[in-house]
Amino acid sequence: VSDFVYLALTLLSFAGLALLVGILGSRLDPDPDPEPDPDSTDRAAGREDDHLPAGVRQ
Amino acid sequence: MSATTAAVLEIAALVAALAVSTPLLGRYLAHVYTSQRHLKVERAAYRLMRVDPDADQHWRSYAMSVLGFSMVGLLILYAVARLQPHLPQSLGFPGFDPAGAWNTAVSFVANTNWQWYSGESAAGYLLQASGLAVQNFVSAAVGMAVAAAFARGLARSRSGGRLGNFWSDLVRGTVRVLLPIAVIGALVLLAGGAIENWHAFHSVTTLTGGHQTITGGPVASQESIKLLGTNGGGFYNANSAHPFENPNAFTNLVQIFLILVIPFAMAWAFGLIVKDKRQGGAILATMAVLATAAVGFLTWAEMSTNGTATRLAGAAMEGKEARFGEAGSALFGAATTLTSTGAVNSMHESFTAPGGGIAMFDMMLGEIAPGGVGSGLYGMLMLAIVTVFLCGLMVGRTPEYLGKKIGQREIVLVALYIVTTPALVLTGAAVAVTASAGLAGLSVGGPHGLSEALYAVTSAANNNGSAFAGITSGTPFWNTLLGLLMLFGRFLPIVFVLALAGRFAAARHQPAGAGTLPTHRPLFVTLLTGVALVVVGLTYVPALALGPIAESLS
Repeated sequence: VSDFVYLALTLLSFAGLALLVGILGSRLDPDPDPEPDPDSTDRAAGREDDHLPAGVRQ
Repeated sequence: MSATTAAVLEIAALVAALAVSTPLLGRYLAHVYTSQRHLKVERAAYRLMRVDPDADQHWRSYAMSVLGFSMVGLLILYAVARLQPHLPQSLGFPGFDPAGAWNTAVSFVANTNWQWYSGESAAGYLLQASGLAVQNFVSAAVGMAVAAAFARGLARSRSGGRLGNFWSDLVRGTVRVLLPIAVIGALVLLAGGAIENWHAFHSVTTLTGGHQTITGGPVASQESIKLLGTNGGGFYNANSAHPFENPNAFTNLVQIFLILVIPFAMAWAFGLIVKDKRQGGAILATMAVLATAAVGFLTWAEMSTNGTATRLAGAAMEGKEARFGEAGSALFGAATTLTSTGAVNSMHESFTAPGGGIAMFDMMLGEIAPGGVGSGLYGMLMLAIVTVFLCGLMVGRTPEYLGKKIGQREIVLVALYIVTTPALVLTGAAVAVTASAGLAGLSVGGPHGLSEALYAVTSAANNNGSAFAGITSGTPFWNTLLGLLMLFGRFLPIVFVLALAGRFAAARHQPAGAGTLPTHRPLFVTLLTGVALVVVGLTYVPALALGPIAESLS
């Protein structure tokens, strides 16, 4: 078994690990805890009509 | 003084020393990894490496720096081992064969220090002192850096996944922590009788008229970092059982202290970094409970004189040094397998069957009590996250740890971390005992032969480095198999840890509510201890049953 085999094994192993970092990065990077969307917060709180002019009902 | 009294005094002295050092060193470590100031020597190192130590790295950048630095170190060490005869201070030794050089390079870069060769008859001074010893420092510093990054990830809020700077953590860990303590440790070991010289070989005539060649070398200086960095690779093949490395009971106690001092202090530092000392206390307490149980069981196993031969001899002293006795050997054996050290002052293969099984179980725990420098802390924190998740499922509490929600993606990363090492160990063991090249390396068949193979792959995948000495691992098959296990056993978990740290760092800190499980109380320590044991038990008991347990019952 030559030096080339172990050099290739090293490079492949670390390339695989780097690929894993890339894959995890692409899957995890979206902000896990975004600032709440005001509209969705309002909906959740049952205040859908708060942004509408006074007297207007959907 | 009876053996039991000596054992009690030894353990009491060790506990007292650790009780003093843990808060002191823990405070210092927290300062090192949170300070904004760079020392002059550190600035010089950054200029040399052409890196910006103030750049706040995203977790991906941090992970790529860890991988890049380790790969370059591996290739350099491989080249030094292969080119040894052409380099100065080779002492006339030939170069390592490709498989052996690769195994050694991976081993030291991965903080494992598995040694298929005998240091005194294969590795010259240049390889030992500037190749292997350098990795003893920096591989330990890498582990500490990853643990510090994980702690910062938990402490930060909405930082966009930024964890700090790897190069700064690496250099600080080496310059401010490992180097100064290693120098002090080397001086203490020297004072205790360990040798330090550049005298290659001495030929002496023995009392019976025979001739013996005695190898000298810079032993004390390498011994210190070997233990402090939980590395474990000895200058001599006999490792810390060799009188030049570990001459007496005093140096033995110093060596055990050096093994444990940083891992325990890292837990204290963690509490300070996350600004809640109680959290560090809970992690520390769990480590202490598991370590106490392991030391107690292993000491009992070695001192209870099980077996006919042992009873006739009056003590289980086969494979142990008379100057350390059963207790000193058991305490060292527990310390080295509870951490990722792998140094030995006795032959673990000569331990009683239950004693050898406990040493193996210590490693299978994931080396978390207190574990390797850095790796022990992040390993225990991963189990803490599993614990809060399981408790959340059981009682309907919100799964969160230190104000960070544990959602689907977080628990997937933790699960990948938990599964990686057992998968490597059990797959490696299966390959070893089914391939003829693997079986050829075992000294015996039956349960003990399986224990030899299981111990080797467990040691490699957990980055421990100790071995059941009967195994012959200096073959291309074993060197390649164990090299792969060491490499992936080190860096796959690190990638998962950093990914999780990045996720925590990006998340908002949630204040504790009525549904939050307190993670600083004795109840949590109990739960975490139970989870650690159950996770390991369910995973490894079948393999242990076929090896050390079957041997104990036979």
